[in-house]
Amino acid sequence: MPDPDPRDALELGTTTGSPLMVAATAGVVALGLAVAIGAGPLADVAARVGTDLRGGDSYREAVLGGGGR
Amino acid sequence: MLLGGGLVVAAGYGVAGLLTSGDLLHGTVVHVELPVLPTYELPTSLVFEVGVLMIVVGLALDVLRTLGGEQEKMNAANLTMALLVGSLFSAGVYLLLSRSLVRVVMGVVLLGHATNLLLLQSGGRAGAPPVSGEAGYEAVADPLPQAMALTAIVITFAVSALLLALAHRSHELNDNEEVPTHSGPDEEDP
Amino acid sequence: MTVDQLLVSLPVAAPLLAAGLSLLLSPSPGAQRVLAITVLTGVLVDGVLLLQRADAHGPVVAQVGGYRVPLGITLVGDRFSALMLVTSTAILLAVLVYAVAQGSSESSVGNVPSVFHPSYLALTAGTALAFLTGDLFNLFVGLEVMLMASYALITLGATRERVRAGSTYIVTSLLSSILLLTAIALVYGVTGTLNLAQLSERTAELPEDVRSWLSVALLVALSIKAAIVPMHWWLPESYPPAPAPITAVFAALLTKVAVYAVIRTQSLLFPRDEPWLLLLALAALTFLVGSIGALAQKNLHGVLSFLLVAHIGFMLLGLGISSAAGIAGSVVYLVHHIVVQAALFLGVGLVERHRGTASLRRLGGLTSTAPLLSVLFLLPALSLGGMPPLAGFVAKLAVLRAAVGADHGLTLGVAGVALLASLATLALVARVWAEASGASPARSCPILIPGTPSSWGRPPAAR
Repeated sequence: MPDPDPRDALELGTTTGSPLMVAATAGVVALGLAVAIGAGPLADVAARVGTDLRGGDSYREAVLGGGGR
Repeated sequence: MLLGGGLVVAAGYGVAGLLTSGDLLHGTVVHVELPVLPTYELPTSLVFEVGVLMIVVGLALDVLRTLGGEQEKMNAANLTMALLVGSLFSAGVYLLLSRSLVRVVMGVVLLGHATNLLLLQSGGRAGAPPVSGEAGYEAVADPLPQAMALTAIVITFAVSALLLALAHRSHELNDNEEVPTHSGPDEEDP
Repeated sequence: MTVDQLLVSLPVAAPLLAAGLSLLLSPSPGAQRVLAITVLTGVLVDGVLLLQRADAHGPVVAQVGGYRVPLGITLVGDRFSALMLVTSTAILLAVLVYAVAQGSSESSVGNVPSVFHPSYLALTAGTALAFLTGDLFNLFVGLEVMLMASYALITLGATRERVRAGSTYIVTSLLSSILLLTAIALVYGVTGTLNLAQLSERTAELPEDVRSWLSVALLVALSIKAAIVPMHWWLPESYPPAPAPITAVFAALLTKVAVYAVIRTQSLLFPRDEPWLLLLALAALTFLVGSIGALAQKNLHGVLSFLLVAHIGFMLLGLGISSAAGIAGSVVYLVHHIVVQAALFLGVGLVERHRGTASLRRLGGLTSTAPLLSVLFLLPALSLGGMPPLAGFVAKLAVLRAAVGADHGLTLGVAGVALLASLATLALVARVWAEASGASPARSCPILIPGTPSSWGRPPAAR
């Protein structure tokens, strides 16, 4: 196995990221968990989105019906 | 309206930002107290950009005048225009397939022209210029495709400029502006 | 009424304005950071309010400039767009924090931050416009604003590798934009309007063949941006060289905005009652090519890029089923996919900083030297693979249940392919984990076969 590419080491360093970077990543991961925990409500909203998009009536009505509601 | 005005002003800034970023790509030392123009080092690229601008604007003006002018009895689907769009498209695609970035840019520009012509065609019959008070409602050409074509021209122009800047940068780095044969993400891998 | 208008317009207008301000503020990076984070937080709050309102009272509509419907620019916030807005803004905000942290700890980048923030804000505005617009041409403009900003971001620093990737990316995106514009011109030529609501009324009256041609033209144009398989070639080429936070945003958002556009246009303009064979076939192809491509990669970036492509197939499958349940599945999957891709690419960024490389071979020992990091990577990876308690499982279940519920031979077949793709993903996750928990970075082991006995036995969590 050859040595690690020196260019990489120069550009990126071999330290762990700053705590804030880890925190931001953790935040996104937590968001992913939140999606799993809130799967019920999310599925409900998605189901409503599905019926909305299938029909398209509410969309048409909102845009064309009252003008600017 | 205030909102519309704000959008326009902000979008102007945004475009200026893109142009500045194109400049920063050169790696010249820019003192960023004000977004001033740094010195360009390669005059050819500048000439190209000016040329592209002139082509775009010239063609746009020409087309707008032709379509908006006095040419009567144009059919909704004009055969000449359709042929022109078709040939521009094929020439554009041909250029796009070549390896040199400058040719690719030319191809992109041609494709952009073809689409703009098509946009104008989609507006149907030609008529008087769509300016309030000039002619009756019936005689006026459809203004919407013209507005869309203008937007599209601006976008194509900005991207062409950016691509040319990239081609220049690529030339600086590689001594040619061709797309390298292969260097995938796993090239660094032994 | 004014509150409604504000809610819908703000996500577009505020970031654009802030982009301009940020450009003027470029001498003081600190102010830029504060501005960007403030604006994004504001947009996030706005999005949540919009979602609540749209869910309770139906779509929120604003006519920009006060013109009547077919003349002016319409902004529509319905459940779908609001949901997408919330998800994407949350990700944008998190990635911004990450990027700021990286920027402050990595001072060598020099003049980059002064362009980064304005471009990032413009990207936000473009994304919001693409989600909220009620007009086909403005959809194009929104995508274009977003892409313009992404061009600036992907070529930041302009090293050789980035210039090469950037040119591929820009030319491809530009080509797809031109195709989209062509499709829009055709739609306008046939129907005489570009307002989505009006279009949906007029397309219903078109002859069958014209309708399907328009539908395919729009699909082809958008599928390049969405990296649907025959048009996916640019994605694994152009994403990896960019800095980690930028890759994360691209992977999480750009293709998904295009998928949103596909779902929006196809479901609204060309509603179908039968499963759409073309889209189902594309979905199957996407699964296969993405998974097989991912198995052949030696680099975490490459693996993730191909998996990203493979999982686009789930959203296509949901849409292709053409039922309310199928679309709902696609929507859940969209949300999940945005979040999980961002998490994975950010995680890879951290790994890369830790290790100095993202090569699969040099991951060994990661679990012992950086356990937190490994967990942060493992969770979203398992979610992507569809492990039961995680979001990926929920999303996959929603799509697959709709596919089975459609009771059509082809949807069942494609669902089978989807399961295969999920298995491939899991195998890859297992392989990555096996590498990461291996003994030392310098160890060499056969990695091309995911099922080598030595790598199977080791990680209990990966099975």
